[in-house]
Amino acid sequence: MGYGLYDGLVDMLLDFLGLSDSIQSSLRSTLIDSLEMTTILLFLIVNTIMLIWLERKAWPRMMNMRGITFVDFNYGHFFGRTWKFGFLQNIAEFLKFFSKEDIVPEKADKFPFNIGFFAFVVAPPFMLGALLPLGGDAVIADPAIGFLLIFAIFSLYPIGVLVTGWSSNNKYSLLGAFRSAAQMISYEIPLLLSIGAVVIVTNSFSLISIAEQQTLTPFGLPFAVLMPIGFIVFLTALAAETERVPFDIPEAEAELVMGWRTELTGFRYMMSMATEYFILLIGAFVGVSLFWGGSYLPFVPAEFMNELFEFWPLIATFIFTAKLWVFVFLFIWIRSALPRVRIDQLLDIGWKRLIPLAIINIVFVIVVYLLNPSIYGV
Amino acid sequence: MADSQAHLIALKDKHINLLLHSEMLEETRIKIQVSAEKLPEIMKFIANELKFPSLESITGVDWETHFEVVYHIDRWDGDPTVIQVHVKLENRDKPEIPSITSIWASANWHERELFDLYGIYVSDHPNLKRILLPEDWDEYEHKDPSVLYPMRRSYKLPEKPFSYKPQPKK
Amino acid sequence: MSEQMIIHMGPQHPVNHGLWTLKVRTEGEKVIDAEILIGYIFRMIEKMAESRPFNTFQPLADRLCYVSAMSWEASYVLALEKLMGIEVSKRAQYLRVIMLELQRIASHLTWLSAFTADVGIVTMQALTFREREYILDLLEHVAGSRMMYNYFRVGGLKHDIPKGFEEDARNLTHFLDKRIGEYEDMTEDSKVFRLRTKNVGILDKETALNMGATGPVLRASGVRGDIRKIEPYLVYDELDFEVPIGTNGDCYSRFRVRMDEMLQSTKIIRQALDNLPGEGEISQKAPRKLPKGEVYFRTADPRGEAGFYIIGNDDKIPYRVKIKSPAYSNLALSSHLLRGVKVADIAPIVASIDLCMGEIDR
Repeated sequence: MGYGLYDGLVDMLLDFLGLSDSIQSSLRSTLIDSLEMTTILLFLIVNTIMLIWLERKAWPRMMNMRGITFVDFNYGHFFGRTWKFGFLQNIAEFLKFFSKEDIVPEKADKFPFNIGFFAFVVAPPFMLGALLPLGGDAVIADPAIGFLLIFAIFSLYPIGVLVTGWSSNNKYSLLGAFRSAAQMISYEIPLLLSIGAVVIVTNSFSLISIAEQQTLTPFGLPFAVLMPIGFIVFLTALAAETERVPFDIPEAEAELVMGWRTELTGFRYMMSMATEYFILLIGAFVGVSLFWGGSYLPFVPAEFMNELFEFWPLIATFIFTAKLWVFVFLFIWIRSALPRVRIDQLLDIGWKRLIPLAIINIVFVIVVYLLNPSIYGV
Repeated sequence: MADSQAHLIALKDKHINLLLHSEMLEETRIKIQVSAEKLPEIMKFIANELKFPSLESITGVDWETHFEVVYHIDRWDGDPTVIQVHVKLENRDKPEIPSITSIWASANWHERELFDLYGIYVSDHPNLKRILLPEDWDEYEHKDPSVLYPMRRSYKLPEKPFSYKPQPKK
Repeated sequence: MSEQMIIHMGPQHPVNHGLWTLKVRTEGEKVIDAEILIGYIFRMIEKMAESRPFNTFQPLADRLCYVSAMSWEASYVLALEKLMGIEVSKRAQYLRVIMLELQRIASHLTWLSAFTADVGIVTMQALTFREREYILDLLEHVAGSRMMYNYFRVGGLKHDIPKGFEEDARNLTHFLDKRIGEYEDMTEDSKVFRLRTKNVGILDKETALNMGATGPVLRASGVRGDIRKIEPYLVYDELDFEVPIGTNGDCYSRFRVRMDEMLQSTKIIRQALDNLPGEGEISQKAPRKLPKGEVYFRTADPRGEAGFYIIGNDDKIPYRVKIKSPAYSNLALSSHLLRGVKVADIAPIVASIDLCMGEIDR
């Protein structure tokens, strides 16, 4: 396991220091692991910032606006226009948020307000870095329960939202927190059920082996094509889990101002917003691995891809990242087109539509699997 | 217009003794005048018998010697008639008029406005309090009634607009 | 969450598009009762009208509603003309109709932007403002100002239309027809949009009439109530158009009525451009003094029936000017609509009645 990027580097370093004989192998792997964790966290943070940039650029484009533009490097003036893309806008705003006063409401319940937010809202997504594959078989840890662990850690999030919203002693926060908790808890069921079919045909929880199995299907088609109902249920449930439009009810700005994060200020607010995108990104990791074939492409032989990845592993990461962006772009597109549903309609959609659809999907997949398992690459 | 005339004739037939004055202002405007006590009775007749379903507005007029309240009532089924009911309130110190909220629910806010800006007390109103001015306007330091009810003629607009710029210190 | 709690929405809250407070008592997600507090921008504009010569009040009539300034100054000017007994030339009347209908579309587009944003389609908010800007450009070309026109005059208009206006206006109407069709695609075709607006905030016919609903709110409840048809002013009786009505009285009907009205308005503008007489006095002399007498004049504002009750006293200063604001009547009934709905429905319901605080607080 591991990315294999740092082994040589660490060995060289230890040789240089003359420690390679005396140091224990577990310490060596700890050193490698910490370097790899830094890598994946950097990857996640940079990608989160860039995805926020994508959202703030692509969505205004759909509204005939330019989006963020001016805070950027100076690329010069040529071809009749000044080329600026606003790449640094988010960084500038993050710095601004960090410099703001941190206000804790006077009548808030201070202990849960702090602990609930940092321990359950901000921290969990950062714990997941080790489980996320970066293309090919590059992953730090690949436990047997695989992505179940991701969803288990995900489910801490609503607790944090509920505690933060409730303790901030604001009616909007309270309503938003209750909505958020109701929504996330009820949508975890269709989310996991939609993945159930994938687990049945792959007999695995590992994101890497599921991605690999999608190369064995006819023409290397990914599961998004082979089990479309499951994929649509997954997308919908993921939109609800990450509180994106049309399911951004917990923060419905029309009536609840900012939902459960109404009383968050400064870097707390920034962290809560960044965490939302962070979770979306992690959801995209899962979605790309489970339904879009990871870093493999359809119609390209798996042997060729594997040789390419052996030769140059960054290509796998590149393809995977590109898929991540497309996946997140889907959500941005949906956001620009759809209104927001009401909380009771949302719960109706979850319980009365998505769960039956997910079960139909499972039955459908099982029938096809029994008739001809090679369709799913078994 | 014949329709409008017919409404006036129907009004006269039924309630000639209540109408202090009645005329056609233009082709489609009926002006009648009634006393404050008989107002609900005639309004009920207009709403239920003449089938005028909606009250458009209630206007207070300060004629310096007395107040006048004007009701505009119309219908939306293609008939352009507007009945304009005038009520004279002779008691300037304590003007009072019965509420018609039970007949037309839309009178609610208009009557509150009447109370707010003219100080005309509307009896039997379900929720009579100030609407456009702050609710605690009466408790402000100036107790002058002309300031309490600014639409009365005795309240004059200031000559210059108020300036909120800080004055230079001498 | 079975105990009740009171939520103050406002005076600054995304739901209210202006300064007013909605005090809702809720039980969980259900609204038990709603109270509306207004008056935050009360300027006593009626008092101002009573303390200055009638012609100097006209710019203030513009400021009654910043979204439909043209129709408010039209109401005022037309009421004065009725009181003075002035007949305006046909050309000026047709031009007035064109301006009024352009203003109606601009106002409805602003409403559409607010409504869709409250339902959750923020994209539409920017798109509708883009089209509104084309109309404002055209009106600026005519009147010299983008929002506060002061273009109408007692006895006609300030000046004639600029060169090329007719062609521009005609092109714009075709363009708008196309764009309004696109908006229908973006909203009505969306299942989520229908979920959010159908059977939400239902106002039946009798209640609507009794509570004083006017304009699109009344027509959405199935009453064919449009002053342009009932009591035609200007040249509306010479133009061929329909009054769209809704059936259900819910938010969707109100949305539908306004969309249809925009399409009817483009039709009216095209007809008026076709029939526009080439010759005619644009501005004629008006008397300096208001005659003794009273007039109650109604026009079809984009928000409903706007009325001016003016009492003249043989003086250049009117004795009494009462402004009947349609949004005031419609807001008054919104607390009735909000009773028993979900908290999430407050935003679409309040947005669907189209508020403009300038004319409510006056």
